[in-house]
Order: sequence, then C-alpha cells, then structure tokens
Amino acid sequence: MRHFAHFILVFFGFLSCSSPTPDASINTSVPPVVTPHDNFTTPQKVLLGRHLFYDPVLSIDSSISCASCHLQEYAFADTTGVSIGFNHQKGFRNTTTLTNVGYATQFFKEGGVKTLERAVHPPILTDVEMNSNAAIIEKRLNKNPQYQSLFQDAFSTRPSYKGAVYALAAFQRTLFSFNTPYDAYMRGDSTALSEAEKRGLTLFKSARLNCVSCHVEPFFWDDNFHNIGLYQVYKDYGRGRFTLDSADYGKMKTPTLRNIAVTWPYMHDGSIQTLEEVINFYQTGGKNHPNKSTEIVSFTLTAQERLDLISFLKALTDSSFLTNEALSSPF
Amino acid sequence: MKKSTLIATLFMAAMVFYGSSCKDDPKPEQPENKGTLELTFEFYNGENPMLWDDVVSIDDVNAFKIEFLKFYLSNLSATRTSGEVDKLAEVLLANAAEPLDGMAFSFKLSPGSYDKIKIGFGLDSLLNASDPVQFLPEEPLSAAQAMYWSWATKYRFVRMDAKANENGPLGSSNDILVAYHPGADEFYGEREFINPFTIAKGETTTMRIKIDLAAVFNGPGGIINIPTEPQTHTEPSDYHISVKFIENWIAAFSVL
Repeated sequence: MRHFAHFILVFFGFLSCSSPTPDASINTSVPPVVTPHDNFTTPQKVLLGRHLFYDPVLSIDSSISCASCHLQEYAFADTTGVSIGFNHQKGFRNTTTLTNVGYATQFFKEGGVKTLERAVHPPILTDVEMNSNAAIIEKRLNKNPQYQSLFQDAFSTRPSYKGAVYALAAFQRTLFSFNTPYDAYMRGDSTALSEAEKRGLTLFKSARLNCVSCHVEPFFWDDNFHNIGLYQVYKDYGRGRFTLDSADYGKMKTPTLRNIAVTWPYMHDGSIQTLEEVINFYQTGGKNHPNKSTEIVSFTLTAQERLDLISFLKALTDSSFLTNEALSSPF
Repeated sequence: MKKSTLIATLFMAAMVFYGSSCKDDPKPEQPENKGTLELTFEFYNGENPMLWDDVVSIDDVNAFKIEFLKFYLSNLSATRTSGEVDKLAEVLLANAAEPLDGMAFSFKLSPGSYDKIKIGFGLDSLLNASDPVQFLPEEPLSAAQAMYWSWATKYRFVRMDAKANENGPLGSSNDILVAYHPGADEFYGEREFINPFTIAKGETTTMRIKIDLAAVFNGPGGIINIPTEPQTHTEPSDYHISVKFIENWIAAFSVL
C-alpha cells in the first residue's frame, strides 16, 4: 500500500512537471502544452532556459542573444522588418513572435522543423544570426560556474549543447499568452470588450471577411501554410523552400494574431508597417499568384468597420505577457 | 488455461528460446585476429595530384581554391570473395582540412579475400533525419560539425566553400565566392568499387580513392559553370545546380 501511495505521488508529481499549463486563474479552454518524452518541463530547466535566452553567450562573438530579436515588450518579436544578426548581417524574414510557441507543431515560415527542440538550432547555428557552434557553446558554458550549477540542477550533468537546446525549448514552452480582453470576454465577462471591439470580433468571424479560416481561435493560427497574394513574384519561396514543390511557393506559416498590435511590422518580410495597411492589403484580395489561397478575396469595409476591426485586433494584446517578470531577463 | 499458467508457460518458452539462441550465436572474432583496411581519399585535378587547397585552373575559371570541404560517406561495406558482406561503417564525415584523420579511415576486417567495397555518398533518409543533439561534438552527425541544416532538419551532404577568379589570380575584387551545399534525401547514392584485395591478420591493406575535382564540375550530371553557377544551397532557385553537383560528385570518385 505504501508503495502504491508512493507511485501515486510520483506519478502526479511527474504529470505536474511534464505539461506546462497556462496560469490556472486564466481558466481558458486552452489545453496543456504537449512536451516530448525526453524533455519534460521542470522549473529547473525553465530557469536555465531563461538564462540562456537572455545571455549573448550563445552567439559566436557573444554579441547577441535570443532576446536581441525576441523582445518581451513586443511579445517576443522584433520591431525591425528583418532582424540584425552576427556582424550586423541582415536576415531575410521578419522575426516571428514566440507567443504560445509551445503549442506549435511546425516552425518557421516554411515549416521545415517539427519540434521546438529542433527549432532552437537555426538561430544559434545560422551564419547571419548567431553564427555559433555546438562545441564552442559547450566549452563556454563549462567555464561558467553559474551555468555549471544551473545545468546540474536541471539535468544533473555538466553543461552541454543538448542541454542548452532542451532548456531553451522548456523555457519557450512557458511563453503563454491567454490573458487578453478577448479571453476575459470569452470567459463570460461581457464588459471586457468595448462595443467597438465586440463589433470588430463579429466582423472578424464573419463570412464576409473570413479571417477565422486561417486565424483560428483560440490560438489565432491554423498551424498551416498559405499564399496570401502578397506578391506576384516572391523572393522567398516560403513552404516551397522546404518541400521544393512549386505548388508551395509563396506559402507562409500562418502567424498568430495574439499580441498582433505590438508585433509590427507585418508579413513574412516585415514589408507592412501598420494594422491599417494590413487591412488595406486584405481588402484588395491580394495580388494574382497561382498559389494564392482561395480564402483570400477582396471585401469592402466602412470606415467604422475598419476602426472596429482594428480595435478588436488590439484587444488581443496580453499586457501581462509583455511585462511578466517570470519571463524577463534574470540578469 | 488459467492466466497464471499461461504467463508461466510463455515465460518458460521465452527462456528456452533465449538460451538456445545464445548457444547458436557465433563468438565475435577477437580484434587481434583481424587485419586493417585503410581507405585514403586523395585529390586530383584531372590526372594531376593536388593538395585539397591548391590553387588550380578548372574549366571556366583561371583560379580555384577550396577553403572548406567536408562530405558524408555512409553505409560502407566490403564484400568477401565468398559473397559475404562485412559492414565497415555506418557514417563517416570526411574533412579535407585534416588529411591524416579527415581523409583516411581504418576498418578492422577478418583476414581473407575481398572483391569490392560499397560506399554511400551522403546520408540515407534515416541518417539524414538524425537529431544532432543526440551525438557528441566529435561525432559525424553532431551539430558541431557545421553540416546540419537546422531550418530544414537535414544535413548538407557535401559542403564545399571556395574562391574562384574567372580570368586572373585570386585576391582581387573579382573573386567569386563559391558555395556548393547539396543535401536532400533523393541525392543519396551508392557505388561499388570493384577492386580485389586481401586482408592479412595484423597487417594493413590500403585502398587509395581518387577524387577528381575537374570531374566534379564536368561529369555525367553536366557542366557546372562556376562563374554563373557559383552557389547552391539546395533551394528551389538553385536546386538544379545541386542535382548536377551531386551526380558529378559521386562519379568523381575512383580507385587508384
């Protein structure tokens, strides 16, 4: 019997540390994050990952960290069209917000990466980003007493590249953002949204605008790829870069609209600066492209409807997420 | 049959099977009873031997100099005259910058006569899907080897970075930055090198493999015009260059 009780304790303790969940007080219908069997989330891993996220130690010249391009006050996105990496080199895409990234099952615009653990590599290894190397990172971390201690707590091992990758993934699985006026409204607080925001929500869900065909609640993404007709000729092949299938050219992974008001500029290349301009673009129905999604069709909006829609999009901002100290730099 | 009886019966059967299979297993041959096959890879420009980073003239360019070259070899095996196949290695990463360790590989083999070896160029789809964090930094598939294509969760099969100058010597503003990085499941190819050899106990047999740089740019896949086709990263815009490169690459190896 004593063994059974011990088993129950261990089992539920295991569950509690294995599946990060949003703050219980938020009480949304959002499920726990699914974690891989070899990287259950623990507070120790999250703490280590948080340190690594904000520490430039990962970049080849110790000049930039993950947080250099994923700024918390901008929902872990950047404010430039494309971010600047090692040696002032420019990337070729707009930095994606990490809002609720733990729920994603495909990563980056082309979706060539299927797990958060593997999604940690590209920024670290890519020459126009951190331009770093697994061996160098291991060596550096092993010379640092603080990291020796953090790795010991998290993995009971010396610092390793694998551990760093897993800890960064564990930290990112805690980047929950479900505390917006929209969420409060959906929980039953009818005063959480203004009348304009409510009208905007109705418009957002309307068949006329059809935003929800790709920006599906509650995440406001569909974990899929679409060509929205941003260009007639794309410089960036998007999904086609990975699949090499011409039918996928120009298809990009749908971004979340949560915290959209603070993640400007917009589109995969950061080519549109404001929400007003984004709506203008969608109103036109996009440019002709053989792969353009059939969901993208032109529509008209009155001036008031435009304001209402923008009001609603701004109601997807989670102020607590942007300032949550548990997600801020530990340094 | 009661459940407990059934379980006991299955357990006994499993033990009998386990015991009998152990008896039949051949004892592994001791390393001291084996000989060594050494494979060495040597660079040539056509018929002329060269060091990997020599400045050479190739087809359309006056000067060409490799600055970084690593490539994967996998699923290597040797076939005995009797037809029995001995596995040599699952995956190797050759590194031109390390002529001793990076371009020569040793394998322990049983004494006897062999007819041929088989080499896989690149990585088969299983190896290509490997997770780099599961390997130590010094292992071929580690991310530390700078061969992992993180955005696509696959590996470059060959990474050749070089400089070229079409008309003059290297070192001017006209230099062309060359980067051939082919890597895709469909690029994996195997070749058999028929070259009878004998392995004797305690002795080393060397097989020298030639890599003809000229053939990499003018082979069965077609001509790669370096000035107009200086780079490929196996993306839609340059995929055709990768296809040519990898076909030529695999054909550029021969036994000396």
